[in-house]
Order: sequence, then C-alpha cells, then structure tokens
Amino acid sequence: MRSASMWGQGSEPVSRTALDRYARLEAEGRYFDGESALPRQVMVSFGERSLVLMGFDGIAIAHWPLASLSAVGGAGDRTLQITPDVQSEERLVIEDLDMIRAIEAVCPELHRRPADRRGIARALVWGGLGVGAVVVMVFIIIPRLAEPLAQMLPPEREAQLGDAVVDQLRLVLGGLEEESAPGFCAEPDGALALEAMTDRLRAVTELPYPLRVSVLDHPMVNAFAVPGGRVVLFRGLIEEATSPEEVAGVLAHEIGHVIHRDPTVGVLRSAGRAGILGLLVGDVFGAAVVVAATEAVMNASYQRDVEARADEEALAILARAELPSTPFSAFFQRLAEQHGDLGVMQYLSSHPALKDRAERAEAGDSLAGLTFTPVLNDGQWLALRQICGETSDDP
Amino acid sequence: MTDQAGDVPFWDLERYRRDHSQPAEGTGGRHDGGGRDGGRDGGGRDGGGYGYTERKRPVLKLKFTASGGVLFLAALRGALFSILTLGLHRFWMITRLRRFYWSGIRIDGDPLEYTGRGIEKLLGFLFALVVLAAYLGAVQLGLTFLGLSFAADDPAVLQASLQLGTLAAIPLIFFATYRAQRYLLARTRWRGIRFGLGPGALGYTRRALLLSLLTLLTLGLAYPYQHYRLAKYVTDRAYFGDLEFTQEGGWGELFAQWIWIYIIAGFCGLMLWGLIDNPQDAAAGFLGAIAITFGATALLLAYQRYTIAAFRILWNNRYLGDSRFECDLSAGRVLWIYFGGGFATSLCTALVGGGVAFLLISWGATASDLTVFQQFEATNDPAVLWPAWPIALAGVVSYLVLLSVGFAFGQLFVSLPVLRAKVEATRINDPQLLALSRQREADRAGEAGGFADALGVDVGAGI
Repeated sequence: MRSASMWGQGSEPVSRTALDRYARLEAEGRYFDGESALPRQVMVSFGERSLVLMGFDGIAIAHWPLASLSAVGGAGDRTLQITPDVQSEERLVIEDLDMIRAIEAVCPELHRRPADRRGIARALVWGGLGVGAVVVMVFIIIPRLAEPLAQMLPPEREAQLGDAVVDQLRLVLGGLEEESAPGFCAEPDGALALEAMTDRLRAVTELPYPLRVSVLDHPMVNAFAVPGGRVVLFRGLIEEATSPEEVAGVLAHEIGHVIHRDPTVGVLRSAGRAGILGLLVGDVFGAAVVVAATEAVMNASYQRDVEARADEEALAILARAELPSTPFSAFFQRLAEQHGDLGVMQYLSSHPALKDRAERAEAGDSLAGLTFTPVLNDGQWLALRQICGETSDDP
Repeated sequence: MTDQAGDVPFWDLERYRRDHSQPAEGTGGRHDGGGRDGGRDGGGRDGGGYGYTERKRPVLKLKFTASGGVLFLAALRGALFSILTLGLHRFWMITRLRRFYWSGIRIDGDPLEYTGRGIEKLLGFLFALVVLAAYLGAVQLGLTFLGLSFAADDPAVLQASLQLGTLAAIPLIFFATYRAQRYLLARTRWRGIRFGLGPGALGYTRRALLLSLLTLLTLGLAYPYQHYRLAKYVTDRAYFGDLEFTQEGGWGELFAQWIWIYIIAGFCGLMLWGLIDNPQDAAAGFLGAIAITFGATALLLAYQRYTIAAFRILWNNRYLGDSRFECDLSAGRVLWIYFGGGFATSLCTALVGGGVAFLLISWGATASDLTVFQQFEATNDPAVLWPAWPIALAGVVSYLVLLSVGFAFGQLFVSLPVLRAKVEATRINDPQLLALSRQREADRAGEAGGFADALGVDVGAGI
C-alpha cells in the first residue's frame, strides 16, 4: 500500500501534477450499476477531480469524485475493482495496467479502508454482556440452581454417589492399582472411640442423612466430606493431632459441609461450569486459557466462602457440644508453622488462610479456658490413634 | 418465452434486455419459471429465447488469480496479532483472508468480493457466547441432576450423562452451520450484486438431526444420502441476486464414492483376520502392525477422496438460474496438494524453528544460562531459576511465533492451492444468463457466524 503522506495529507487529496500527467489517459472498463449483473463496456478517463465513465455511445454514465474512490479487494492485483464510495453498490472493473497505476497514483487513499467505527460501541456493550453472561451463569445462576437441586436429590442416591467418589479416590491414592489402594482403618477399639466422638457431635446437629465417619490408612494430613453424609479422615491427620479435641474440631468442620450439602452442590456446580467452558475449547488462539484462569481464581473464592461457612458451623457445633475450639485453632497454627502459609498463593487456594482460620476459631471459643468434659478419655484417645492397626476394604 | 424467439444473437444481452424489458419486467428475474420441471437436460431449452440452436453453447472457465506472497504476509501478521490479543484479532484476520481469497476468484474476469467485517464477527461471537452460556450451562446442570437422581451408584452411567451435555450442542452445531453459510453468502458479491441464503436454519437443524439419526442407524451407509439432502436444502435456498441456485442430481453418485470406504475397511478386516488366524507365525505381529497402519492410512485417504469427489459431484449438478455448473475436480490432484503441501508446511516451519532454536542456543550458551537447570535439579531451589528468565521468555515468544509461521505456511501451501484447484476445475455453461440477475436486498445476518465460531464449526470456507 502506498503511503498517504507521500502526497501530502489533508485538504488536497488529489495531486494536481499527477492528474495533469494522466489527463489524456483512456482505458476500457466494465461498469455495473449495482442493480443488475449486466456488464456495460465504458471508457474510463480523468476529468476535473473525477473519474469519468463514458458509454460507447459517447454519453457520460457517471462522474466519480476521485477523493472518495475506494478499491474493492486487495492491492497488487492485476484487476482493479473500484466503487465510487464505500456505501455504493456500483462497481467498475478495470484490467488496463496503465489505468490501474494511474488511479492508484492520483488516489493515494484508494486501498485504505476507512476506519469503520460503526458497531464498536455495540461491541463493547455485547462484550460486557458476553462476559457478564458467563460470569452470571458460572457464579450466580449455577450455584443458585445447584443448591435447590442438591436439596431435591434423594439422600440414598447421594450416599451412592459419595461411595463412588471415595472408591475413586482410594484408587487414585493407591497409584491406580487395586491392591495398593489404602484400606479403611478398622481396629475395633479405635472404631468405638471414633464412634463415641462422632456421637457427641451428632447429638447436637441436625443432618439431612445419617453421618458416616471412617478413617483412611494414608499419611496425608487431610479430611474431607463427600456427598451423602460421609466424612473421611486420613490417618496422617489423627497422627498429627495432639488431642482428641483437635480431631473433633476437624470433624465438626466436615459436618458443617454435610449440613449444607456442600459436596453435592460442588458436583452440580462443576458439571454446569464444564458445559460453559467446553464452549471455548475449540478456540486455538488462547481465549480459553484466560477464561479458565479467571474461572480458577473466582472458583477458589467461592470455595473459600464455603469453607468459611463450614468453619462457622464447626464453631457452633463445638459450642453446642460444650467443647472448646481453641485446640482446633492451635491445630491450624501448628500446620501453618510447619508447612508455611500460602502467601500470594492463598488467592488461588480453595481454603482460607490457615492463620485467619486459627484466629477466628480462637475468637469463637465459647468456653475460653473453662473446664469441659473431654471428647474422649485417655484410653479412647490412645485407641483412636491405633485405629489403623487393622484395615479392611469395607468402611 | 418461445414466442419471443427470434434473431437476437445470444451474446447481445443488452439488446435482449432492452427488447424484453417492457413486457417481461415483472418476471424478468425468474425469467424461466417452468425451467425446473423440464428442459434441464441440456438441449431441451435450446428452442427458447436466445436462438442459439446451431451454435455451440458458451462455457466459461472460472479463473483464480491470487499471489501467495500477499497471502503469506497477511496470514502471518493476522496470526501473530491474534495470539498477542488472546484471540480477539482473529475475527479481523478471518475477514482479511476471506477478502483476499474472494478477490482471487474470477468469473468472466470479474472478481468476487467479500464485504464482511471484523467487528460484526466479534459482535456475533459475543452474542453467541451469551446465548450458549445460558443454554449449555442449564442443560449440563439438568443432565447431571438427572444422572445423579437415577444412576449415582454407577460411575459409567454418570460419566455418560455428562457426555450427554455434549450431545446437547449438536442441534446448535447444525443451526450454526446454516447460519454461518447464510452470513458467508450475504457478504459475498459479484459485479456488485449480492449473494444470499434464504431463512431456514430451523428446518435445516431438524432435517440434519433426523438424517444423522438415520446415518447412525445404518452404520454410516446413509451418510451420502444425508450429505446430498442437506446440500440440496442449502443450495435450493441460495441466491445470486434474484437468480436461484438449484441442486440437481441424486445421492446415488455420492454413494458410489462412499462405498469405497466400506470396501477398503472390509479388505483390511479380512487381511487382519487372516493374520490373526495363524498366531504361531512369528512375523504375524509385525505384519499385523503394518496392516493396521496401512488400513488406517487407506481409510483416511478414502475419506478425503470421498469429500473431494462429493465436491465435484455436487457442483457438477448445480444450477444458477438456467446456467449449469460443471466441475471435473481431480481427487488425485487435491490429495497430492494435501500431501505435498502438508509436507512443505512442516518442512518450512521446521526450518524456521531450527533457525530460531539455533539463534536461541548460541545466545543462551554465551550467557551460560542453561546451567541453571542443572543447579535447580541439584538444589531444588526455584530461586536459582530466576537468572534464566530471558531464555524462558525467548522460548515462549519463539513458540508463539512458530505457531503463526506454521499457520501462514499452511495457508500458502495447502489452503491456497486447494482453493485454486477447486475454482479452476469449475465451469459455467451459458454464463451470459447470469447477467440477468437483479440486485437483492441486504441480509443483515446479524450474528455473523458467531455460533459457528463459538462452537468451532468450519463451514467449509477453509477459514
């Protein structure tokens, strides 16, 4: 494309000298009136600041102002198709190379597409709407729909789903091999102790379905709730804890999830989101990555809300069971010291920062140093710590 | 019309129109209302208006003039910007490439013209995003709920219910295909006259769903029938100005090409079966691997060959008004372009990549930054990696550049030659009749192929 500055920008779009040079140039062209596809042979020549299209009968068909001439198609073609202005439907096709060069010379703006700002405002509006729709869908509508839907599921179905999730997880922890999947800890005295602890918390909560607590023989310091009122503690967590109240705090937190059916809501939510994100998968040039990353951050923030709610429930349960929440807090403190807090990464983490949780747990302690009946006596606590002496494949 | 037969020579359309314009203005566009039921068999209409019974009927070869250099630079630039803008620029890149390809197609010396715009594609995409977010999100959620309510204990069924969500997109994909074709035609002009596609996206979707079901039930045997019916549905609704496109012919010819896939599959199956029959043979496993590779390649080739043959057969039986298209696209030539062009693309991209890698390594070696990776392995401390960030950045940048270079080479060595082969294999009988077409109204085709873009549907425009 020729540079416009070559010819001096501004009020004088047509170079006079060039026009004088081509004043006598004439060439054949095909003219289309924009109403029919019927070609008309015309003679094309330059007039006073215009392109003159003359019929073979000597009658001028059109005078096209040079300033608004616009080329259709690309530069550098051996055929030039032009239109008097961008809106017009009339076309002129010229194949004479001299004439093409002449027109390109006197109309330096010929191949420039005028910046077309029509629609930019609408693009911004729709862009906002588009992003808004995805955000509203992913973060408002789907979660809102997911909660009532989760309430409508039959509890026994949820329990089955939960069992499937636990089986899947054991398989993954065992390196996808059936034999090395960690078993459930089933030492009878330990199981009785666990039952005693569960009973104490169960007595003060109302749950949509029976609570089932089991311990998985695995060194990870973790615990989770799956759909259907099932809570799984890891052996590593019990070993890490220094008192039964710490374990009870974690258990109360997971019960907090069960009360609100968080695991089931989570399954429904992620399914709905997958449907939307699948939309953007076919796209090669990377928009999907941005959306997925945004989604990860936003989802983590939702998860943190859920975790915080479960923490609150846990404090309430502990208070009703007349248990202190300070050990729960101390447990978080210790974990934060041992493993370090997450720093910047906490925005990507699905759990609130450990220190914050610890502080809140301490502030929520209803007993604050008063005496309380321990959740387990020393013998039971020892038994619980030995619970993985025997394992079985059935919970 | 026959009453107006006379001494007007067939090429003098201007005079023909002048003579006929007064009485026949109303029907001037559809100048041959009865043409479709009779007279499509070549000579049938020769007694009619133009008086060319003794003359050889004119045939026009389509021409393709487009320079690869311009295309390569446009594609490279477009792809680079698309990556830099995280995909936003691709709407403008597609517009630019289509404008380039369209203007290369010459019918009777006059180029096609693409009038689509980038911004309308972006708008369409965003609109589609809004609709699809609501639709797919709700469908997926509902399906999961149903899956959980009825089959929570069986992970396989649960998984399947999630896959059903993908099926929910299928009607949308058909819908999007039709709408995208409509947009494409609405933004195409020749001689200043618009092409167009009438409304019918819902009818297309319904037919496509039923026909797909039929294809599924017949294990794919009915695919040529589906292909033909859908092509006919679209073609019969397409216009150039006020001239109608029509699809003639039948699906038998397509079937004759399609059946080769089954013959080849059967042959490969027999071969494998023969090999499995003698498992004692030590060479059997090796031969089996060869037979599977060979069979897969043969099937792929057979499928490609079918798509090319289908293009030829469909275009060979298309009419625009009363002008008949002819097409003798050679499958061998196009397959060769795929093969040779694919090879040239990978070779050139690899050469550019090799050059870039060489530069990076010579630069990196002088900075002796590569040792940090050994240090990292030894100390496991991510801090030692920091000095290497220029190398890492250069690596990422070169990867993205190579992606664009590969795309541009693909356009140059595959897309352009394939389009050239297709255009140059096509002819139009009686091209002078096309001059009778009158302008049609602009079709906004508002969502501008946005659904197709969001769902990743290619409408066969190559880009």
